[in-house]
Amino acid sequence: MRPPATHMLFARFIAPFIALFITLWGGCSSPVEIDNPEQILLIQAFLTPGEEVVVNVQKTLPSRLYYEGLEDPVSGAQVIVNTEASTTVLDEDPAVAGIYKASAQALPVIEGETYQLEVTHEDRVVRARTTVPIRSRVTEVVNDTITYFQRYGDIFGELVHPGEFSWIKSPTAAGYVIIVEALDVTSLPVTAEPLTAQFDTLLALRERLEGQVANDSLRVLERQISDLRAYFNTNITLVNDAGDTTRFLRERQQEDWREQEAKESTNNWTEGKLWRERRQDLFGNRVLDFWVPADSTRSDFWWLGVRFEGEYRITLQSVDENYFDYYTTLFNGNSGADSDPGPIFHVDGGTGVFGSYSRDSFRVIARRGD
Amino acid sequence: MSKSTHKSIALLAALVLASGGQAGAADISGFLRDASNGESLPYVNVYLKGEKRGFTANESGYYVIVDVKPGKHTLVASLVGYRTFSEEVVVTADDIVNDISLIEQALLFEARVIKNDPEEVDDFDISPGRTTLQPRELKAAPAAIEADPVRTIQTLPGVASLSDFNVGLYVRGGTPDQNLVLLDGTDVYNASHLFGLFSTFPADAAKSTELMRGAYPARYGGRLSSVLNVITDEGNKEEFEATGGVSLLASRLTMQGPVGRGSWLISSRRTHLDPVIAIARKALDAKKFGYNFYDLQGKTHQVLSHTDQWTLAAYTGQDALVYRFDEFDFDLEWGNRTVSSKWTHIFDSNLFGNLLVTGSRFRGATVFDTEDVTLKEVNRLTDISLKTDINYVPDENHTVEAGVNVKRMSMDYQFGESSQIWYDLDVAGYHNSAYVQDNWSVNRLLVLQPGLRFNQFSNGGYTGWSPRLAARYQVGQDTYLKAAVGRYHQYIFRLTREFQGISLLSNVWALADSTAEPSAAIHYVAGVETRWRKFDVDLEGYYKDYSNLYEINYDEQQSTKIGDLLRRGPGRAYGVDLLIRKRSGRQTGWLSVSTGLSERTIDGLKLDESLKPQSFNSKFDRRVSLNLIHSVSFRRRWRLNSRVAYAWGQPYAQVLGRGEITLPSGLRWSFQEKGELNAVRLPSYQRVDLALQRRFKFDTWDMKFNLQVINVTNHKNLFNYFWSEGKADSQTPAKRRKISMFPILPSIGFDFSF
Repeated sequence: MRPPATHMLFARFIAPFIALFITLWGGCSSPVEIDNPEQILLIQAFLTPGEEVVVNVQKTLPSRLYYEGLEDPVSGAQVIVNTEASTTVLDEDPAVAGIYKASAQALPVIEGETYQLEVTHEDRVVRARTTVPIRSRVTEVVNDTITYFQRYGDIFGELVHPGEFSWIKSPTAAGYVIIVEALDVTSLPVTAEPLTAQFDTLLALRERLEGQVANDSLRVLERQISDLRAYFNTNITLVNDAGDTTRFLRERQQEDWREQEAKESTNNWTEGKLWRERRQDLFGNRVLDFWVPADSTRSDFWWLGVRFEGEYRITLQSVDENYFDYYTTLFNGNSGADSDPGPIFHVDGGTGVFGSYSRDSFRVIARRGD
Repeated sequence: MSKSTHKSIALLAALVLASGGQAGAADISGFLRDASNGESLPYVNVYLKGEKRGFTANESGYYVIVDVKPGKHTLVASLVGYRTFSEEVVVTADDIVNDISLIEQALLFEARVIKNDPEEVDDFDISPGRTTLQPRELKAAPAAIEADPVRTIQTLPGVASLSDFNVGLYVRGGTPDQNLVLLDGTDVYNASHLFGLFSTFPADAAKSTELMRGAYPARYGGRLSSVLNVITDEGNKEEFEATGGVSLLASRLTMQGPVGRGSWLISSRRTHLDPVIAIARKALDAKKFGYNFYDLQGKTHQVLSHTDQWTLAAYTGQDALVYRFDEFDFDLEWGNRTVSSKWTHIFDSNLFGNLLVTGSRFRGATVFDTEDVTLKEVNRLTDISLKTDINYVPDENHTVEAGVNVKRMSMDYQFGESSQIWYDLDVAGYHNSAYVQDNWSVNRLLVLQPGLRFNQFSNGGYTGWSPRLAARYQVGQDTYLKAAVGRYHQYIFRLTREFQGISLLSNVWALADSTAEPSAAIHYVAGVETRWRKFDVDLEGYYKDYSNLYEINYDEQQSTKIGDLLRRGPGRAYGVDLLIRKRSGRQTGWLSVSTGLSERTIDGLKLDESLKPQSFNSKFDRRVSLNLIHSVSFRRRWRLNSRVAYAWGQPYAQVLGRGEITLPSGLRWSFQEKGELNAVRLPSYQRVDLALQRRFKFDTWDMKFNLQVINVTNHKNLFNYFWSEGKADSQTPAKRRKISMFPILPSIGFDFSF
């Protein structure tokens, strides 16, 4: 049999394929994004023995509306916590929307007990459960007073473990979260930043209105300014409860702190800007937390988490699976990789963390050696 | 000796004589070389005119046509870019050794269209999805700053790229670690520079680049997706030669010449970004900021006799980035080193063998240092192999290839701080394999290639058979139907930590073990190839069925077992590729059109209400893509290269909402609520590139000035979206920002040779 001529094969087969492909290709469209996606319920609660139960109920925010620190609290939800023996309805805090509480007497948190949460709002129901881990007791602390020498930063960068501590393993914890916290330093979370901007607005308004309005009106404005200034002085400060001023351990950081005040004149910083910088400096350096696996019974603590002179509280939290899984994956979701869906949340019908922990703690004093 | 034994011996002898060829027939064999420099030429078609008999030269440039009847024959050899060789050969009863020298076609100076011999059989190799690019074609595609073989490969059908910043080859739904990348027979891992912007392969020294996009033969194994085989020059055996060039990015120099009974070659490339780096350092207010990469390759090839040749080659290349700012230092470096020694021997005219010993090491290291802590991550993958291959042509209908490969692989990974190692993985294993395959001409129209490969991987005790079968049936003068099927296994994989579109810090390789089973795939390919006027047309459909694909498990933070660090599941990819190619004449180039789908179903990802994983589009699923490469010479010394590219955008998961969690410590962390995995797509990718070359000749110097403009239309191709955090003090909401790929990017360069 004579094979068909090549050009016939092309005309009959390949050319029509190309034409069809181009037609289909031109007509195809790729999937588009969802406009105004529905926001979901976000719940947060960390139960611990000896403290009241606080459940924070919010909704997630559309990305185009979100800024750091912004929340969308949910009022009027029904929040119930069940144990084997009881059912407790939490009351919404009249002063703070979205916060639902039960006192330690009404709903005691007990190690080993399981708590089931059910939050109902409109037609949505969110459920979660947690079992409070058995506490781990700190048994030994090596070096409860640690001294930092300035030359460490320049030469002995490797001298990173000034101390360590040990504990008895918890039989039920999913892991441990260790918090290193400077007690002689106070700061505010990011939710305070609008106040610093408001402060600048008030200062600008005061300057503009001077000579234009009555002094009584100006005094009202000045009182607002001084109240805010006092608030910042009290809550963003290196002065401890005893009235003593602490310092950064590293002279370089202390120098930066001193120079900040000068930046009001040299860098045209507003006073609000100065408070924002100080808030971030102190808030970011005041607390360090990290995790260790469930089978650990000791940990070092590092100079990395010790930034100030003074007293530190180191807390060993024995945490449940909800808290631990979220904590160990909280940086997930930003890589864009297919296998990186984001943090782990053990919540049905919504998102968030309903976790629990028990704790023990000890104190360490950090000093400057030179 | 008994009667039955006599009979057996007689029968055996008869069989041997029968398979050994026809009485009075002889073999014609020899090496094919470039007439100007003695460089061996692989993949040349050698045939006897009018007899439909021929052979495709192997990688060493060796050919053999067996059992040629005594008498006069016309021996023809053809290779794109060279003048067709034709010579009358008189065959007697004795084998003929006939080395052939091919003269390069000076296409720039000869605008005359070459007419193909109508009796020529294009290609005796029946592997589907196989495309070979010669050096001229490798540089045909305009490139960002420098010509890059892998970037040119990305314009072929079935090959997707993630972005302008990534030279990874995503071949028919496979990831870059699923490609077997060979540099002169040596495995290469992570062959990229500048975070994936350029490959490590030297465009100046690459003699041939071959890509098998699927259903590749039993000769190759250990990877699920494709084979990229780069063969570099041996060196000029006739005289000293130097080529090089300077571009905005780097300088390169290749020198070669005769030595002993063969040649030597040294090729190098190094960045010279120092002025740009100095500007960046000031802009970043850094104490120190530096980046450089280099490649250095050396080779010697000795023709000891007609029957023996020896090659020794080595390569080293490295990228290094250093950044020092106030109280922290960041150092990142990664690179490959390879060394290989190859002995080729002709046992008989129809029996050719190779013995190859190779060593390859990839190392990546990241160091992050503050005054209080030093974090360090190091990953090394080492591969030492012994490979033997033989080609045996018992008669005109069979070409048998067989071989054995013994490979020792080791991987070690460490992550920790200066005084404490948190992760320490140290794994070693042997991957041993053996294969046999036969190119069997069943009749004048039908060629089959059955093959079988056996794998044994000691880590975990895995064994596996990989049968392969390819077929080609001639239905017209130049028209063939093709089909192939094969099973493939892979025992190593890269733990991808790829940001959407780039390969930053994704250099960690792992081996299969008792906790992580090998991956496997079955390929089905069918298609037609034909010639229409001056064009080669290749239309092919494929289906790939994967099992045990791996993704990194971001949720696992504690375990040191490879299996725990991975999510796994099946996948599939299918589609149709079209390649229309013109390889000779004043105008050359190709049009590649692909439509395909790639999807996976991975544990723990895209779960339905009953927590079962659902399938999702892979990030490299480019449903439709098109590349048009065109090269035209005009006015004797000018050449214009152009590229038009189009592809559907990458899939991604839409961010539906934001939230924050406040921990008991008081620290707050935000998270993104995401929509269905890879359910929406970025806008389509479109780009037009142009490159203009002007050639000069001055005494013995050939010089070429290049002016390239990438993305001539300045189309904003989207690389990624990201959401800012907004500003809490001014209560300014977050904004979705776009990161675009290359804008319009002109560059100039200068190449020379003498």
